[in-house]
Amino acid sequence: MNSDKAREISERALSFTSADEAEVILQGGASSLTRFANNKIEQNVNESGYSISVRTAFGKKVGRASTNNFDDASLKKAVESAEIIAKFQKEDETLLALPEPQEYGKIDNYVEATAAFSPTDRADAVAGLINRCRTESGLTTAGIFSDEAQYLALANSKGLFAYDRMTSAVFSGTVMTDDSAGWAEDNNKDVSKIDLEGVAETAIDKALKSREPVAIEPGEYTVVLEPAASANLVIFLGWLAFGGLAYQEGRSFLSGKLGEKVFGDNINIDDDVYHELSGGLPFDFEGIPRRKVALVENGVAKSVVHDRKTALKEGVESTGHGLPVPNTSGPIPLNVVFQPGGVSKEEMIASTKKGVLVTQFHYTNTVNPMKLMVTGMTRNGTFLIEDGKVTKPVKNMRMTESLVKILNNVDMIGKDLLKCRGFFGGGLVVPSLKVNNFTFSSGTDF
Amino acid sequence: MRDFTQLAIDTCFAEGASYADIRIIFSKREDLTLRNGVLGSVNKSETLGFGIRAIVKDSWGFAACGELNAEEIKKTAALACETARASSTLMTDPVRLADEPVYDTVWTTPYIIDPFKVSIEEKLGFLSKIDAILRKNPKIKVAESTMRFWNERQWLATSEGTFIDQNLMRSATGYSATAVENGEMQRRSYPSSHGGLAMTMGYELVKGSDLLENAERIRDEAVALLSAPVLPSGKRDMILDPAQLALQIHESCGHPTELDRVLGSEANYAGRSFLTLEKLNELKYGSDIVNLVIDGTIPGGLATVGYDDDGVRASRNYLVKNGLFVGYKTNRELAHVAGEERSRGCNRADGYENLPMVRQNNLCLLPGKGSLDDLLADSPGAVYMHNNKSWSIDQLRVNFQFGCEAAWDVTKDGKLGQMYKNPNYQGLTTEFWNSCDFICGPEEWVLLGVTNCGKGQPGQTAEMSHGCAPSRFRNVTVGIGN
Repeated sequence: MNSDKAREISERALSFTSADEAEVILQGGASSLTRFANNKIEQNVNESGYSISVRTAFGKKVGRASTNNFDDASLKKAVESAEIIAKFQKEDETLLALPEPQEYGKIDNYVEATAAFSPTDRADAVAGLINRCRTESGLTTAGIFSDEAQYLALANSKGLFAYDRMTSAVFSGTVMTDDSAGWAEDNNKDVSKIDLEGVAETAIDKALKSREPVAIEPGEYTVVLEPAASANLVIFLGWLAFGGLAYQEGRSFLSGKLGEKVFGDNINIDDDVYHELSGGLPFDFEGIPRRKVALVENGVAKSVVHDRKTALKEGVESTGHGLPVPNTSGPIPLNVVFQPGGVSKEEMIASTKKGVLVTQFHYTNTVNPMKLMVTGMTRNGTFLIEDGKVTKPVKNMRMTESLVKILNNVDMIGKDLLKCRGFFGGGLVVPSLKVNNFTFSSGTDF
Repeated sequence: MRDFTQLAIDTCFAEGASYADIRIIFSKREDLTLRNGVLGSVNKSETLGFGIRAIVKDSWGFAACGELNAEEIKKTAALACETARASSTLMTDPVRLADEPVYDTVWTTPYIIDPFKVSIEEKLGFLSKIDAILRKNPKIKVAESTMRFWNERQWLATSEGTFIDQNLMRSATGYSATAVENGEMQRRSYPSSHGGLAMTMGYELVKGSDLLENAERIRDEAVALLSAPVLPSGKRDMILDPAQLALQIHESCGHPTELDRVLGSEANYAGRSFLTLEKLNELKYGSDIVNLVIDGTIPGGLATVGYDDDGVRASRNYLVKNGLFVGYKTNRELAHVAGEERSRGCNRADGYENLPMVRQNNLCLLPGKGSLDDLLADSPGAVYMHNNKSWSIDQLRVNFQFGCEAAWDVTKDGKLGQMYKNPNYQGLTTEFWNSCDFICGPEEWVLLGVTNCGKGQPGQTAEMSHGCAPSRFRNVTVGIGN
């Protein structure tokens, strides 16, 4: 959907309301995904569609309703529903007037070739990995190739109009033997830049090297976390600690600690939608421009992110991290960038007397949010490091550890900055990390 | 709708399909959250769209569209077939669907009060009463109470001649209180933390609930947890209340018995399963008193439907009988792999826009004998854990670790003693379920909903219920990291 069409639908919806103020969010697009398993394509899907969400405000009362049909009758019905909801509210004294028109930075995240990728293109893309696994005895692969083009427009009754679009493509492959698994993934806004052979090679190599794993005792180890494993942990920083509302309500580990040194000297973390690997849009769901925010500088907690409401309470300007209003979670960092170091993964391994190399963690989740304590299982390639070399695969283990402790024990930071997707969504830019005294709390027999 | 569905099927067959189906779905939702006395979130939505599945050259293709008209149906049907042809280039085994009778029928969720006809004012009034009770203590920094209603009208037509018109109504309500003081944060929620009270019912669910009556207790427990000690690490006999046990069942019984996971379909995402095919009818999954059934027919269950998205009539089946693992969750495509002639009716999709796949049905742990008082009296020294706060399990569904909102010692005279904050426990699935030696009886058995079950790529969310009664597990590792 181009900008003109988005503007036409938005303005038509706004014209139907008698509310004091109104805002619409129009979003959607087309996405396709080829899912393979057992060395064949098992699921192959396409979806397209858009929805419009209307927010109306009468004084300090607000309502919201949405529809995926854009004819006049459907839009009027959505507007009317939002108005009825608004009229029955109690006044919310913290509700802010809608923002005036804004200026946005430019982020070019749309590539036509990705939007035009076809089912046949996807089948061709996954064929290399599938055929290699078919021909190499004992290998089975599962994974996805997806492509999507998404559009977001936001308009309000004060004349604000924001529009942007983005594409993304993902190739993710898991390769299994009867006693091991390996995994690799690449994602890019430009489908032509997906490293098909690199993903296949890495996933197969990890699966083969993970065969006949041995059990090691749970306990404290030095670990070398590949970027995906780092991401599985670092993603919790944004959710648990660096949101303005959680901070103000005392529900964040950082509450009352801004300006204090909370992590090691070598830790620098931003929220930066403008970073070349980030992806994302230049405005938030209130129509406010996204800003780069330094979250941690040399281990010192510098800032949390804000929407307009939390910013007002703090006496600062919004950083452009608002979600659709009203919401219960408050602003959250969506584009965390962990600043890289200068060493390679190989140098980290070479410097390790005894440790564990981790490809990925599975199903990480919070144990204690105020201590940033999380748990999760290793997955898809876990190896023992002895005397500077990877010596053998090990059976999977559960980690239960505090991110505060982890980020105070980072010994080395990789230069291999990668964009990673999180489990059940999310994404961030992170390097590999070498961490001392990392706790594995229990094990498995596989 | 029959004109649209026939057009879709005819178009698919003109494109070379050997099978096709179409689901047209009109969906209404209403979500209300009151947060600290004001509207925390709200949305009232309506969506209409359709999804078409086609088998061409023995392979699947699927396409969905949010615009329902003849032109889009023809275009989407053609895309589904083009996608199936692309799938066929890497095909190994032809898709094979288990037989199912042809139905031309109507089915609806039984409900009394249409929640979409109840005024916003009445709903917010109810939530406001809860909110006022929860915020009476200033240490409660966040009080959230919610109501959600969703209604799906589905028309499923298959090229075999089935046409099913189904009307599903679901309602949910619940709340949580978060207490904060001196860098400590503790939360209690009621009646459970994954969707609250959630059932296939109308607004009578809210009217008949005991939410108001429990608000004061929940508030006070959240505040009390702030100053409670952490649960010490060690090995303990453990009793789980239904709100926690429901998620234990969901994660360690529900997902590993999904046959598509067993066969590797989820290997790149949510993982596989330790319940591989050779373990069927061989593995002692739990102790003799452990009986687990999937039940698409149970009144009020969130996954209770007349027919699944394969057009298979809902049924009730054992997965674990007297401790023995005896069955999987299946769909028409996979039933034959489990040696069965008919699907168990577990194929469901998230809305019109997603492909149906094997999902958890309502999965219930059948009741045993005795009241909770009997269980406590029989369990001096045990720890009693309440309501889920954290969950994690490995990709084969073996090593799990759960955190709960609160725990109590069971005293030597069978009462609840010391309260603990941040309780958690860890175990291995079959070892854990084989240690189960007490399941309370029908008088303690409740059906609790899970409304946020994620699976699949693209990600889909599904809802289902788990029925269970308080149960005891022996010698469990608790207090990890405390």
